[in-house]
Amino acid sequence: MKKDKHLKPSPERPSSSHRLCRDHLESILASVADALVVTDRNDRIILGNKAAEDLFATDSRDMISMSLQELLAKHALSIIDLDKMKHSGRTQRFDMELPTEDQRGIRMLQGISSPVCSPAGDSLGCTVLLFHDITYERELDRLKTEFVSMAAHELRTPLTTIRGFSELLLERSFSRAEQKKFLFYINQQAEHLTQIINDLLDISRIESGQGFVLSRSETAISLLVQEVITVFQEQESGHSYALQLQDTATTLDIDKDKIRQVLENILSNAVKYSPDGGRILVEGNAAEHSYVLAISDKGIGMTPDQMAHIYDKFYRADNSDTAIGGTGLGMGIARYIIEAHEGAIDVQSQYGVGTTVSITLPTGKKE
Amino acid sequence: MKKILIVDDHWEVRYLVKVSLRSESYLLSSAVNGLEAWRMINEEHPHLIILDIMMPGIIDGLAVLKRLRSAPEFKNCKVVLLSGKGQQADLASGFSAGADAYVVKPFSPRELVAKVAELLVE
Repeated sequence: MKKDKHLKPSPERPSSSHRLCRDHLESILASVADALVVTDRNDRIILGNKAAEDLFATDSRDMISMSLQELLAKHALSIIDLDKMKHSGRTQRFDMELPTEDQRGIRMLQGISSPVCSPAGDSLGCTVLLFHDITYERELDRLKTEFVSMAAHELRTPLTTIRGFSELLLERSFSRAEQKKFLFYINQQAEHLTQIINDLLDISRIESGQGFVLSRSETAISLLVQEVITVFQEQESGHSYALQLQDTATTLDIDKDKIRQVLENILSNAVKYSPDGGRILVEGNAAEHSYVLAISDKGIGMTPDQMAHIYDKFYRADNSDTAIGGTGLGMGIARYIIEAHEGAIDVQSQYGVGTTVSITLPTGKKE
Repeated sequence: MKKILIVDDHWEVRYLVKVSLRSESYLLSSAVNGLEAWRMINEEHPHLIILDIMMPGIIDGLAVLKRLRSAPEFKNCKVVLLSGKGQQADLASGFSAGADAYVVKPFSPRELVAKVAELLVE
């Protein structure tokens, strides 16, 4: 038979199907990324590929004639349904755990075993097993489940107010003043709930890799900042806002709504975490190829530990005694938005003194 | 006059519970975390405690409950756990820590009031 470097059907053998010569098949097996092991009808290993050698830390020559049990028991932490799998004559899946190479972690593998049959369908008595590493997928699943759990929990708090006060209003009598107060809380918490849901969707998009589609436009950054500050001033939270913007002619190619969202988030943190009122300062300066905005408060500040968690999902530095809690998602989303603009965000804080959040956005149109 | 202590780190929940339980037969007070709750339990000897589980600080609601149950002078104090954690496992650990009732948030004020009344009659 002609030996060929490329996989071509051999012309000397007339057949209805293409035949590949043994060397090529061996190369194929050696190249399969998943660990592949073939056992005979007595569960003795007759073949193991390179990936199997790596996975089981056993040379394929040593593997041959070992029983499958022996090979797996050498390393595996747990195997499910191995017996069931062996004698069924059908394709079976099973789960397996192996320690990682440094022995400190666990790898999760999914195994598939299939009986080897001739093209005509006759069983040849052997079984081929593939081992696929699903550690990453399992970890993702776990994170997703955890996220759903935390999200559901976050929704409970505003719902407690809404459900509770609405039932009270329906079933009891209250003075007009109290009726109005309770309705205000219900409304406020409904808005908070809306914000949580919007943030959750944002985070979901970010984490699934879909991200945001930025719709950029040339924006006068000083005007945008002014707009946002005006809204906050109208809230009359007991804070004074000082604006010190240099280079006010600077325009940035940014997604106006998203950057507004970031500014609102940073400012509402400043308000929330300086409960005694005080001055919130917004400074803006053009730097070499960027514009830097710094928002400072003289509030309660953060400890180094709190700072370390600032971008964690659902993390709130202070959960207690705030009329409207944040969602704990804002900074994570803010960072994502800024980085999507090729900018940077930085937080400096001192416990008991105050906090400054700086965002840097590049100037110049995106090429 | 029965003394009721309300423990929850969320201001809105404390207020909701206070309005729900407003009555001539109850004297209501509140605490914002486990540490403050323990202090007030010792100062005021409430007849019943409405206790949130998840609160910031080292002492959460279950820790307060366990401490309470290990102190014989408080054995007649009734405890209603009020929590967002509502899985079977959570209820089980609440009751085995010594709770007399477990109410899951979001809750019905009517049901809470009925439960409190029931426990204070005993």
